[in-house]
Amino acid sequence: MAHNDYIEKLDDYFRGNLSNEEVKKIEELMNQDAGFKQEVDLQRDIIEGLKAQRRAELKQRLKQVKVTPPKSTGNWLMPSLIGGGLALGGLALFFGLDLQDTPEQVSNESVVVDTTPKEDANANQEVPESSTVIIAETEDTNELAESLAVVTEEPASAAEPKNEVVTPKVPVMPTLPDENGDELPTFDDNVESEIPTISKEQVEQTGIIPTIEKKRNRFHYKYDGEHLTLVGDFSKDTPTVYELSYNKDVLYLNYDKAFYEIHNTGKLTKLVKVNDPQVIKALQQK
Amino acid sequence: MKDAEIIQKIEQGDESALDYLYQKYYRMMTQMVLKNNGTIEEAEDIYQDALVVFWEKVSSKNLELTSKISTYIYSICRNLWLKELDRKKRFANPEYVKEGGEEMDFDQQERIKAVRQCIAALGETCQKVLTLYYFDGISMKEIAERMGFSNADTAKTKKYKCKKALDKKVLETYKASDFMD
Repeated sequence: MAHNDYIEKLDDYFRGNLSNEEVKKIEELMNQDAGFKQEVDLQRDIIEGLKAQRRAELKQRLKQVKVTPPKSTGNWLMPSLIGGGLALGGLALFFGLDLQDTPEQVSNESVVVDTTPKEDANANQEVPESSTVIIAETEDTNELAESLAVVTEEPASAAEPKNEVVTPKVPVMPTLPDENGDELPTFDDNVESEIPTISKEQVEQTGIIPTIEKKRNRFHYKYDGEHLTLVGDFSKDTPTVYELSYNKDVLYLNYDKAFYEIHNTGKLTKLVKVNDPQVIKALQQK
Repeated sequence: MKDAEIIQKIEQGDESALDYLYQKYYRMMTQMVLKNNGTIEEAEDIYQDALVVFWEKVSSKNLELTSKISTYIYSICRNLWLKELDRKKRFANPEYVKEGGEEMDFDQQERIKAVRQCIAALGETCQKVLTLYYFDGISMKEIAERMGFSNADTAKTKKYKCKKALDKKVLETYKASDFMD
């Protein structure tokens, strides 16, 4: 068989489709003929290059895949905006938010964090991501919330917010059992209640979000991968949520000098303190 | 998605199965590296490489899976990480560099880099046909089906022409870069 015939067989040689005899012949030729060996080396490089190209493509694809929780990114904005001292820029953005497009579940004493990316309908352009914080609190489940504040962080290119009164409609969570109650209620999405209105001027003049005194300390949360709702009296400190890059299945709530785990349970869950010193250390470094 | 379904999707070239696997076992696989002195970047890198290896094996039908997919991918991750640790160890040893091992690797890397530049200069169809054949290892009939060619012979002709064009480009590049010495 001529050298050229063996060159034509190199594809099969590299794929391992040749008989032992043919493989042996090719290896003999490589030892005897430098030109043939050069051709084999060239073909090997080309095939390796093609494989490397495809591997790089697939790997690049994987780099784009979002791992859970898919829409959270590092330290979240938020809670520092909760109890008092809101930045005016953030306040201005609050009133541009269309709550109708992002229905939230708000408890009687709750903080809702929404990390769902939103599009700026007015500007008709892509808005990468925004974070929303809603605080709605009532003294009783059946009473209307006495305060509401929503803050969104959006790119500078977003349209100027309108100076208007907002009256969002949000579902209300049913009454919670006692702290020691084993059975926790689920959210009823069908129940809606009007939250009292609050104007931009009102918030700008005072610089703080009006809050009410809580009667009970209900230390629970609900997290469904996109919306986080804290239930209870979080007035002592500013709650902040973190995630660790190596474990995105769990979020961590920092409140009153302690860290609590937040899992995507989709239902009302009691906050449990983090005890692992390594995790605490990693969180404290954030 | 069940394991059999994932395998089937990969065999059909459905890359979304890879995304699914990446998300599903992300924590499990990266934890293994993190708990063994790796950084999160290294953990993700190893896991991504392992999935690409898995894809290659399944796609070319060179895999007879006797365990769960997660077990198999975990073993690839583990092997890749051990290999990486070994590489680091050897790299830290100056004697290793003096022996010329790294220089040889560097030369090979340069050649592969040159080949990839030639591949990138090909048309999209040629790139696809050639990578399907040489990386995914699928038959001409399957290439014809995936690429919308009328039959396997058409795919074979296309592959032949694309390969010849690539050979020519690479040869020219090698000559210009003195890789042929």
